Amino acid sequence: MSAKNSEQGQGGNAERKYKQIGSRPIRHDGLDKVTGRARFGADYALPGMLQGIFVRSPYAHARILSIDTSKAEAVPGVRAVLTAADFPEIPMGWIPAGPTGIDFGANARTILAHEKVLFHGHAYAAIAATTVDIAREAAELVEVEWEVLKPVLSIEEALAPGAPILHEGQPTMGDGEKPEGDSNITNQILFEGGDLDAGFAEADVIVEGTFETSMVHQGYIEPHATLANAREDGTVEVWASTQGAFSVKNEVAMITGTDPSLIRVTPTEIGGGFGGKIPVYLEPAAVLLSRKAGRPVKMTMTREEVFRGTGPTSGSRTWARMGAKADGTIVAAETRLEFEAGAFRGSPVGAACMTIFTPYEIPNFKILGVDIVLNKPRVAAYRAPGAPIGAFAAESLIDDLARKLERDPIDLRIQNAIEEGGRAKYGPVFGPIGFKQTLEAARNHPHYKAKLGPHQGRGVAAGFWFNAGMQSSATVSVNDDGSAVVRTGNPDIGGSRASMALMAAEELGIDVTNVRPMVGDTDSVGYCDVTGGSRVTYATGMAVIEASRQVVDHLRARAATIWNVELDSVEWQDGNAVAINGASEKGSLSLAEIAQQMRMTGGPIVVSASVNPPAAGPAFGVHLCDLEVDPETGVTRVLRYTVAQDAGKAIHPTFVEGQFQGGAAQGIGWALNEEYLWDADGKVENAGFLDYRIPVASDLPMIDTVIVEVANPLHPYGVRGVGETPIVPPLGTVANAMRDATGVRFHSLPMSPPRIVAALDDASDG
Amino acid sequence: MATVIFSSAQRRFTNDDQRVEIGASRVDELIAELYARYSALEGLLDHAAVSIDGVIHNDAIYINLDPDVEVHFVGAVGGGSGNSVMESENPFAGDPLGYAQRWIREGRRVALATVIETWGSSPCPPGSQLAVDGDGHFEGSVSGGCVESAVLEETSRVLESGASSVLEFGVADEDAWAVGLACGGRVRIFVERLD
Repeated sequence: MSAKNSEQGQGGNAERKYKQIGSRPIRHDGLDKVTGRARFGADYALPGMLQGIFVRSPYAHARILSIDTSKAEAVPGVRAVLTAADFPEIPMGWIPAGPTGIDFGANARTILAHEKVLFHGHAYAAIAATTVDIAREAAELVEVEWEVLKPVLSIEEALAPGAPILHEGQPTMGDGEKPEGDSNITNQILFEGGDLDAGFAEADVIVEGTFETSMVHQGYIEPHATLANAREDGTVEVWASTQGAFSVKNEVAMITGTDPSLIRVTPTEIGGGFGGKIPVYLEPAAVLLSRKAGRPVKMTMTREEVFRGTGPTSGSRTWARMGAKADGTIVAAETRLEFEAGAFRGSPVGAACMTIFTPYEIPNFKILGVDIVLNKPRVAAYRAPGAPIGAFAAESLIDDLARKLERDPIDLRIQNAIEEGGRAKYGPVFGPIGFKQTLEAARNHPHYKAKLGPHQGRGVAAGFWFNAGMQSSATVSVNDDGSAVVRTGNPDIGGSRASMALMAAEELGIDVTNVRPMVGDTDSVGYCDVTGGSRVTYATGMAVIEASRQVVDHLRARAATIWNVELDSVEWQDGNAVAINGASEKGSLSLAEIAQQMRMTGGPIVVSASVNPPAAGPAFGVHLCDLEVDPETGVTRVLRYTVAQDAGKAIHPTFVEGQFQGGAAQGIGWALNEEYLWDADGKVENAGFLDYRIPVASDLPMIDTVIVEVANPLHPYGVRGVGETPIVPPLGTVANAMRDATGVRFHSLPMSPPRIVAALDDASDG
Repeated sequence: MATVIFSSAQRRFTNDDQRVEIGASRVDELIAELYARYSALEGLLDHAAVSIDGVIHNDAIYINLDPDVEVHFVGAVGGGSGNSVMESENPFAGDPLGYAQRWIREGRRVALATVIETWGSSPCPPGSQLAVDGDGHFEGSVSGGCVESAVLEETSRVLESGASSVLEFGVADEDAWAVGLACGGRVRIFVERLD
């Protein structure tokens, strides 16, 4: 399939006039959601169902010498207790042959600690009982003999000579000078180009800084939840709130040792994921508990468990410097990015390396990324993983360059911006991209010229994300009333069902309200990779378009049968078969008219199509922020915020704008308020939304949006993918606005009120 | 001719060559030719994403190459994960012999399991290998996970005794069900100690 993918795109046909694409229908799942009828992960139940819970570690780092579950098992109502001993033996670092690169050894140990607990709240046992309260009572009776170890709680501690080692014998992979012997550095990534020393020698202005960010959580509103039923015939049913039903199936198969053909996973409605519902935390444990107990088992995390046990994104320390000539040409850039991976290797530092300097033409550069394990939760994907952290450093420095050179910050960016034909720092040359157009859209926006008051400042920053392709399938079927059903396997986290319906409606030539989009279970749809990488509207959309076009071919053939003419005498125009080539006296037949006669012309029309397209290519975004700081209290108010971003082609503009706004809101929270607070033993002290403060509607102004459309030649309509890019620029945007408002450059996030007060005090003392 | 450009990190496997021109009509031919020229690269590009004139394909081996394209091997662009970016940079990914060599240099005891024959459905073809050290760390795969734990038991015996052995798993064998080879295949695996 992939071999012909390069031909599938039709250059984002600018000539084509769309009837459905670009309209803003009400989402098909909207009524159920606003009336509370939509069924999320925790809303499923089966007769005889047990409740499962995890027993979580009181230590951030400890060896498990022995576990005695006998007292817990004896509690009336307890039906199964699970420890690592119940898992098939999977060694650390076990990556099966093939392209997935998934370390199932680490994944199994993330679900349930095997040899060691590696962070506070790491689960080490699970209990299924008739009620949650009974399970919690039994949890108190699980007896563990611990060897408590010194926890590693910061990058500095992890890298210090003689630091406790999380994973003995784990090699340091990758590039550059590597530590001797065991280390908490698990990987190094290096990109170099040009001549760094010559580049900096050429620079008239050099700026430098060390930037720090804290671990932050994706903050999805729905906690993880699953229902698993391991039946006596060996088959397994799972309902899960997940970004990828097929990946849940794969993880359950590998980690529980179950033949995958026996497993069916049904994705439920999902209340947010942002990457954090790609990893699997509950399902394999729920399946093993169910198998042990002989009853269905439901597991639902509390909010506190979500904070302690599921994926934040990395905390980080990034040193970087950039040099420019007096005329504004950026000539050199260097960085060392250190990322906390949490308990197991695999931070997104690689993506940060690939993105940090790529938006700008910089001939001489050195980029080193370091992946570091420490005794904190294992990081999970979070919306453009790694890119916001890199952009925070680079965009802050470019702002400093603009100040030193007395240049407008957007003009300086336009002068250095990468264009079609420019080379990414990781090697390849870009095709059509819309960075300059997006910068110009921001510069031309009224926001950029609006007046500011005292204690107010304006910031601008940019960023991009790659946007994935990967495998997707779709099935389109025609009903005899002339409506259609579109079925895919991608859980809908961003309004994708509406976009799938729009694309099918466009190709079939019917109104979008006559298309019912749905997300199927793993037995009822073709394989789909996860909902992630901003790929669904692009890749799954291509499968929908391909299947819909084949449906149209069938409809034409059915019309030819009805009219008793050759196929080439039938053309498809706007949802109608039209007779041509001397048969024009036959007139036309609407889709509904052909559908009514399906049984006479060969039976139902059902078409499935699958694709594996290449990565969609980058979408660039540029953000503007006005904020006001109260110098007494350090409280920051965002006054105005504007997002301009290249969408390629907006299928459903309201959802594109929603992605822009949602990404910006999350990024503003990351910049101003969000952080994990740790006590000296590595326990998260603010494991709840009261003390871990994400922005709510009343905290933010309405976020303005500008959709730029530079067509992606790889997609029939020019779609690029929009979901992740909007979280890349806000960290730098808000920091640059803060610099403008206060005169102080903040190098550490979040810029929370106490830090602002302290920094302003320091500045006035100085 | 396709022009392959190596990243700064890849050049340590290419004798510092930055670019090379190769005549190949498909990505798999190109990779085979690269392995022939640079033995240190062997295995590293099997699952890399491939950029062909700037378009990044995750699963590229059967893609035809037009003349004069520019090719890079890059981290896979995945579903929001940074992990896949790392795997392609992992010098030992998918290379059990590379691990075995490294472990031996580190003074660890190493056993090697090799698939020598398969019948029917079997996820790993003959030649697939699994390297195991004395502490039970292992790399590679001989069955996609079905019989690994039984193979591990055997490697620890072989590490002790030094005597090679041949394991056989199949549906006819009750034990095979017990170890999990329920996919209907049969497989023969040679286990040896590396000295």
